[in-house]
Amino acid sequence: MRHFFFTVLKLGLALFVVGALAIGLYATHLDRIVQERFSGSLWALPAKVYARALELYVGLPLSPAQLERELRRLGYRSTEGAPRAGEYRKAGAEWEVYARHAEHFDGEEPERLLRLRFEAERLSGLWDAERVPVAVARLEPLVIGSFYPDKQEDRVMLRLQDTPPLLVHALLAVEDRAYFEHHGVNPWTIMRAMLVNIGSGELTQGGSTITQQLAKNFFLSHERTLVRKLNELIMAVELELHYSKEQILEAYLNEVWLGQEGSRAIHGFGLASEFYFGRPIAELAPDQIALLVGMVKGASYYNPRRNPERALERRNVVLGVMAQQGLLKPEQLDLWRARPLGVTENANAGQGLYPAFLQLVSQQLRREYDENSLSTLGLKIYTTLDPEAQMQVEKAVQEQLPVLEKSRKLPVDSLQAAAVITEPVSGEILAMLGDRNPRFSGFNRALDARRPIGSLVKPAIYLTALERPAQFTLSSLIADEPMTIEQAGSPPWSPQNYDHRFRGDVPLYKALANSLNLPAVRVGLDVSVQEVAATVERLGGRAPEKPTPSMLLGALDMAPVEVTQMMQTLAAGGFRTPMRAIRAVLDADGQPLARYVLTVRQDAQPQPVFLVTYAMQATVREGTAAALGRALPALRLAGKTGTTNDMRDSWFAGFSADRLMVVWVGRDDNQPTKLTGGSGALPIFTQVIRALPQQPRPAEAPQGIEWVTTDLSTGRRATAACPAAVDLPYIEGSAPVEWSGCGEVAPNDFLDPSARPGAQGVDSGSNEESLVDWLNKIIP
Amino acid sequence: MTYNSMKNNRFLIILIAGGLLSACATTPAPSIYKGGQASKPAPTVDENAPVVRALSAPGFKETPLQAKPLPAKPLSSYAPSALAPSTPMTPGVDYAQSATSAAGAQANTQISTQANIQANAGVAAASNQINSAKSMTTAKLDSGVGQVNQATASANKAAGTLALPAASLSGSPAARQLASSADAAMARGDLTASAASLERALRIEPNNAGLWSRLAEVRLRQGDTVQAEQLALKANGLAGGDAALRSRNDQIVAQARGR
Repeated sequence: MRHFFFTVLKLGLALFVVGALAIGLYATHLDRIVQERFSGSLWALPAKVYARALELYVGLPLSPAQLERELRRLGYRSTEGAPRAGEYRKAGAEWEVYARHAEHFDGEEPERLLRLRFEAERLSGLWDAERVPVAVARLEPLVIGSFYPDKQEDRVMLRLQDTPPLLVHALLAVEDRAYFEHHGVNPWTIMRAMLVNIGSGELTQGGSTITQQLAKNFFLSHERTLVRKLNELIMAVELELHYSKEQILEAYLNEVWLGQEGSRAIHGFGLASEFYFGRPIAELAPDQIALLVGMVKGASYYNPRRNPERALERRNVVLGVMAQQGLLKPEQLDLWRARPLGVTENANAGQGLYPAFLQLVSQQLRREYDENSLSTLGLKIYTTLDPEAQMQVEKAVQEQLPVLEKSRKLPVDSLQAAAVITEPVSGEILAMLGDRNPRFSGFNRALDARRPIGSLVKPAIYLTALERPAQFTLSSLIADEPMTIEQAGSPPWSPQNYDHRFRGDVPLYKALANSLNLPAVRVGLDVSVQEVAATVERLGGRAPEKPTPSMLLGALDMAPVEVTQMMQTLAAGGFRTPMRAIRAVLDADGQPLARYVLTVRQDAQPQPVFLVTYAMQATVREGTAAALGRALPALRLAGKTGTTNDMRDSWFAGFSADRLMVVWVGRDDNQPTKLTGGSGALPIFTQVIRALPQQPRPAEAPQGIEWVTTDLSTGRRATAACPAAVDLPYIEGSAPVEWSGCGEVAPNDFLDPSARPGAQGVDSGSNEESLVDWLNKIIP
Repeated sequence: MTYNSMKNNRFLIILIAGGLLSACATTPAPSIYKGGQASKPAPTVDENAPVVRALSAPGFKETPLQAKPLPAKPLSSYAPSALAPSTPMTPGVDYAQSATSAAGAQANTQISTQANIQANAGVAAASNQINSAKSMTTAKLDSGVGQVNQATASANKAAGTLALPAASLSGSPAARQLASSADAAMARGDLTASAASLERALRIEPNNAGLWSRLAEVRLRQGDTVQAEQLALKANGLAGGDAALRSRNDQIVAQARGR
């Protein structure tokens, strides 16, 4: 009997020792997993892409409506009381904006109250809370996208000390009240669970601590098996052995899954706050905190957007717990419970809204970073996108294309469009549209659709000519007469104006302003096609390797971005600035990895560029884009229409002092659109430019330019009394010397209608669509 | 539920208990943070545990454990406001790590500067020829992927001897403030910050010649003679009748060309 007892005891002891050993070994194995996970980066952090930050300063062209749109995009709320961070208040002409703390790639902005005053669509005053003038301030940049890893987990890292204490307390009150007392597992709940489970033979009782939940989320599957539970318990204890309560809690706050948007998983309270309420977590009210805490139990089941009733019920349960735990005044409980959920309609103001622009950003980034770095290192990418400009161009295209289709009796949705807006001096791309549907993220016409540019090549022809001041000036008379070009290996070519009319001698700048074909070909051949092609490339465009005379009428293909680059060099006075979509890339700690700095290169002399720009201003004032000049006379815009064969492509490129825009309208099947540059792209350009705050082109000429009153009919000097005389800029030394004796010569009807009151120019007549633009047809 | 599976489950549950017991018996008890005890020192990582580099992910600063222990007592109540959702709490924001500095980028910067000082008998002052290759700052990503930084590295010391007349401070208050903070950054040798301020100012006033001239000087000091020259030319194109500024720009061009 005794013998038997000892045998049993020994056996039991041996069993126990073996079991404990096995468990111990297994635990060591798990321990390694736990520590490995925590030794590196806890999470793969997607790179975040930011729009430009709005700079505020006195004199900024900005309307109250534009400011309000910007604030709303950033999740600021209008209030009638004294604003707190993330709120603003309108009081007549004066606004109070409580700007949030913001990190920029080149410094940071404190959280502070700003007082703003508007006058005539301009910011006329900017002060801080104590009415001390503020020279310049900027709002935080809008998040416009992320580069996700394969798992597509998105999160905004939240530090424990930045987490509202109420959130932490509410979370612990609901999920794990004994968190600061237990060792990772709560023996009492485990014991209770065990008793129940042994009785039933099933593992139904929960009792998971925060630590266990974290262990489960981090290391384990979501199936409910006993082995998983065992692992979870061991790992929870091990987590607590190695890491502090705060570290575990902070990891939990960032790990917990709180929603889904397509394939993008919303993890952590930091992102959830942005995702559901459109504002940082520090600004959440207790009822909003309660909603997020309640969603931990089941973010899909309690999804406030899809299941608002369940979510509301759950939130109110959490509010009840909070009151019961003394986190809320019990007498205010009903007030909190009566409040609506308050979630925003859209998941995120900026995310996914700008596919064309993000395509460009990602193209550049992928050249310089590998996929893994982009999707895991938490890089911060500061871009140049101006959401306001982007919104305006989207709006204009969406409004204008249906009108154009209707007026030209084209099939619905047959027209396509692409557009690029830049700040020409810095080369920064403010907006990009690659499809008439701005949310479409496929083929990006702004980047990749190379189409014939038509008359947009003419500024390059005339620049090449005006760079020879001894030979060409703005008043040089160019023969608008029939011509035939002999080409080796090709039949002779006789370019035509659209109306088959010939106007005799035309001053050079009028030939450009009215986009006449024959003078352009004549001048182009004079300076040589190769020279014109070289100028196109010098300005940043793309020219064919073996240019033919047909290039002079625009038979060269360019994408809208390439046209933009070319026009930008003209807009910036001959200085070429590479276009930029990215300003800087910072690592997750805010250390700069790359700065994309402003660089310039003088590729053309300022004086001839000024002359071409003058002629392009004449295009807007009195030429093929006169409708634009009538609509926006004060901006002194320069521009050029472009139309191609059979009106398949309609282009417009134009610029003020600080905005440049290129618009293309056409069809993907390359069928005729019945639109000229002036009738298709120009209305879109006009609508956008009218809506954008900007500065007029400066009237001053660069050094080396002199102004001479010129008789346009002879190209000679004249007095102001001469009816056909205008003041024209010349490169010093190139102005005409001889006097015309104007007055004896009858003014030509075509010439300078503006000089003779009541005269109707051929090009700027009463027709909305310029007749001469109509002529602007390419002969292949 | 069959008898067998029940037995199986019971055995496992006993094993859990055994495992937990053995774990407790073999490892020292962890130090546990008791919420709310203000005097409690920061919890430490168990010394017996293998070396752990705790919680350091990008953007994830290790929690300073001494900071702000969670109050054990319930917080004061939060009053709902009838009009707008109020935010009773604004946690202290740690500004410490966010300031952008050139330090990180410059840490692994390779500077290739060759400064020759040529005494020119015809000219009273010796002009500095900063004949520096456009130096590239290479920053490494954590993943080991090299990334070329376009910011040109500095040839600070050589440029320290530059003697350019100060550019006038004109324009709007915003441009003037940014220009003067650029000047201050340049004075303390932070050329990256100086250039950033100037670019910001140029976005506000793209035709301000003084800003372009300053940016040219920054690039000259950084040894980027190509950009220094181009920017000075750009400044000259906008300088109009400002003779002092034109002369300053001409000096930059001359120094950049090494004449």
